[in-house]
Amino acid sequence: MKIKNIISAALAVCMAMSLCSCAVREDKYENSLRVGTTELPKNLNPYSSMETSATFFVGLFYNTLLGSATAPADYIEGETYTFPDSEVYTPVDTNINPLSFADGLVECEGAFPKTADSVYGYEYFNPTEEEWAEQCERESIKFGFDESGNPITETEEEFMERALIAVPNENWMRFRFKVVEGHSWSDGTPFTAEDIKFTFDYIIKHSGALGSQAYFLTDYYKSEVVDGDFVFTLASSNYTSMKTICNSIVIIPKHIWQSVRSPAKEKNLNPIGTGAYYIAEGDYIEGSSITATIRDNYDETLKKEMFSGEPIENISVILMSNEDVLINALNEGNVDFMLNSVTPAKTYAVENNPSYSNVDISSVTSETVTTLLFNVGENGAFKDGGFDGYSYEIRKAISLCLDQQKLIDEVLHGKGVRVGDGLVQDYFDHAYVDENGEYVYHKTSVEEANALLDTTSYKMGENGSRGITLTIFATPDNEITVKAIATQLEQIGIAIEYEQATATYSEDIKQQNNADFDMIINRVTYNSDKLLMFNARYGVYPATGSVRLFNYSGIIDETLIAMMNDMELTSDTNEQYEKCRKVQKYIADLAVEIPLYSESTITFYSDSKWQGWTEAEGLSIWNSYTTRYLHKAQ
Amino acid sequence: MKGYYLKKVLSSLFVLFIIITLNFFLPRMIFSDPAQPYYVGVPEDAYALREQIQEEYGFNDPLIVQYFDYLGRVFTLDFGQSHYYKESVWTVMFSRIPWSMVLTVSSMLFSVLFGIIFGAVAGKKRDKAPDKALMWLSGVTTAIPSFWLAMVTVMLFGFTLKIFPYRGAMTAGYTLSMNGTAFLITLAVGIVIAIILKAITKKSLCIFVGVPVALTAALFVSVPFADIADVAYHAFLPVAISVFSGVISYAMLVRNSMIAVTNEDYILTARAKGLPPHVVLYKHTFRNALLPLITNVGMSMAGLMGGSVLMEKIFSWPGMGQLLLDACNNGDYLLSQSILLLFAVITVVCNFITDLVYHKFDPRVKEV
Repeated sequence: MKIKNIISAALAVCMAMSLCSCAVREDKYENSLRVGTTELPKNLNPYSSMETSATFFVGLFYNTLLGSATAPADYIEGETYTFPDSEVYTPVDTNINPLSFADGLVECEGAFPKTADSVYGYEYFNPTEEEWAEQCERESIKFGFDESGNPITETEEEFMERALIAVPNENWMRFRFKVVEGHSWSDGTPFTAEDIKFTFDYIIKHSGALGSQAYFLTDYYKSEVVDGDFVFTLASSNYTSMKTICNSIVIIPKHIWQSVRSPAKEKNLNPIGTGAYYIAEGDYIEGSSITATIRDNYDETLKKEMFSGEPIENISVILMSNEDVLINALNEGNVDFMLNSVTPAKTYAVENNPSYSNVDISSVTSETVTTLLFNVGENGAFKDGGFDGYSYEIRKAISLCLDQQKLIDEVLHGKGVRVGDGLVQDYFDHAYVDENGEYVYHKTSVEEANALLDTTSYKMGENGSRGITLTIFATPDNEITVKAIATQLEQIGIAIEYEQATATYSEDIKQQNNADFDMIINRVTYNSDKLLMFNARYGVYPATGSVRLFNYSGIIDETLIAMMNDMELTSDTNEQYEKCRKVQKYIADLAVEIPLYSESTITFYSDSKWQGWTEAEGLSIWNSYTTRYLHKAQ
Repeated sequence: MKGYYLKKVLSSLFVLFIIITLNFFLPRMIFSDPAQPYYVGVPEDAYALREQIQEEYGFNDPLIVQYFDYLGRVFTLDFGQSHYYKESVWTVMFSRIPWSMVLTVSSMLFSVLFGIIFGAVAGKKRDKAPDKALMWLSGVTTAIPSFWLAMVTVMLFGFTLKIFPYRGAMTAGYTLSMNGTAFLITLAVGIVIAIILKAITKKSLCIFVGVPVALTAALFVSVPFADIADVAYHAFLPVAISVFSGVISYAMLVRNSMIAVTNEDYILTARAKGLPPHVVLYKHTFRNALLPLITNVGMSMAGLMGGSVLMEKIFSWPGMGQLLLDACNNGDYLLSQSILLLFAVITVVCNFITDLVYHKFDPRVKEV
């Protein structure tokens, strides 16, 4: 009986093993670059796909990657950086050629062409006399009248001079884009200016369904095709708007989309783009994997610009819904790169576990700063006159008590950098510096904080409390930050309560009408030519490089407004930058928004099968440099 | 009897109506602006555009108008297009239902089968090794959360031993190829044979066995064996984990029921009559002990479509549970509403069927 049982069990095991051997299939992706993600796109509509992975795909299909405006992670300004193929890194001069259509969903590193021979060049439009007259007439009416009641008219020179300097929102600008011949869509159809014009007309026509794209066209006036060139006219001189349009609007093929009646409902599962890849196979509804393959008909010059050696033939994106499974798959070499960014806590766990030795970690500075924003609105506790008139002292004391490095160590496990009270990170130009030219980091001094509070009516009691309890409103992922802040503020006798925030929490405080909480955990993002300083938006103008600053903060502070106006009216650029730094300093001294830290962008990858991963400031390890240098390990 | 059925049907319809109503209003309570998910990339201050989007999708109509519009669509089975998938809601749901069925139906079948056997043995041999093992395992399954067990299993069998796959329903890059015509023809033929056999033998068993056999045969005829093996291979771990806890739960139910029934007077009478022990066990004890199991299985069947969200998440299984989770996370109203409605309908129908089956097995219900 026992022998029979043993034989039966052995037979069962054999059958199971033979079934397993039948079921084990060939790994189709062995030679592909394998990208793991916790979420695959369910459609590839460039205008409404939501996932990170969709943006990744849109980059592959639509973007014409023409180099990067972002420096490699270890690049030191003013010094030479040499890439693995001995090519020397040259920063892009955005003032010379800042406009090119990125064809990306969002602003991305492929935005600026490296050379004048790029697919899209640009030139300022030189209007004919007739066009000029027409335009003057329109603009005169729009601008209004002079002191005598006559329509304002200008000479072309006067107008162009005014158009290129910081005259707010009333001028027009016109751009003529040359479309370099010989480039095609992935199905072989030539790429022309008609496609660009069609895209803008299409978005305007379907502005409801394509609201997110239409929003960028607020300053759109008209688009035309003139002698094979694309001419774009803005309704105002908002140059930043033109740049945003270029970086944000995905150009779509006219021959495909002209038959699409409902763009918001279009799945676009077989996207035709100008990018280097096309979809070779994809499984969307069940969401298992999608493979992109390099185009045979992609322009050789562009291919050489995009890849330093042999192009990556296939990129397979494989779904692994669970992050831990994905990290293990990366460690086992079953995927080469993890598309999702990783939290510092998870990174810390992986970093300190020797079992995960095959996981490489890329941690680079990001453009985002996490801040503690006080509710200074008319209903907020920190309004003028709040706390018995000691609102400012309490804000300032909290600022002085907060130790950024401790927060970075506790909350981010060291994966972050300190930031100055001006909120602009140290690696950006025009960040506030002291008289010695040194970047000024946030200052911590518990003694000074206590001394300051001792001057108020909130004295320290014997129980170590000043009788102040404040509420911080934050999403659950920031609860640990709130707790760390609470621990630090105990030193100055201030108690903190955490209140869980809804998705619209930032709206509440921005509108300054919610008195239920005293502070929120906020996030602000910067980039190299758009610095956000407590909602005061800063932009650089082309040609003259002049600077302007918009006050979106809602703060009615006459000094601040006067400083900003003064800065805008300054004609000398360097002087403007200097005044801009002063504005930062002034805003910092208001102690309305305190920087906590700038969290690093963390991505996981493995160089066991593919090598050449290159870090770039503020970007995932998957960037145009990595695309360029990635090659199979020998 | 007709009154009993009519009452059941009417109460089920009333429950469905309540569910449909809640299904409409509850998602609208999540966001202050129901069109929020449609503003992908639309900045906060683009009020005009937001209004345009609201108008386009009918969100700015009065709520009552939207509600009656929704009722109209439900009764015509027009669930619209998924905002997220850009595909008909029916298409999306039907693409996922079979995958959920693979996991849940097989888990349930194995759980019930092994649970009955294990429970019956444990009930019969009370305080012996099988019974003690069952009691011990019951404690273990109660203490260990299934998602933890799933993660440990994935690590052990998927990564350390590399015996079983750890993700997906099939090997990455492969899709199930199915000959729909062959499937339907084989299934139809199988069902017809089962009906004929039932007519000849007058035994309902022909239908209960014939239909699953026809379904299995249809699958093997219409799907290549390599695909079936691939799916079975990928389903092994998630099914095994579900079965592990399912078996213990059903076994405990059967065991306790068996012990309770064994002490009943009619069992003593059966024994006193001199009936053979196996007749007493299977015809009297076992049949009566199954009654609580029917209720339990009936209630569990309602959860079949929902599947196991955690299991699907850990194993990247493309089932309905994961679909619902994605739909809720992405604010895909039409899809999430339709899935919830489908679950509700299945629950109501399953409860109704359970009542009918119970009615058949327990003559006391007839009397009531």
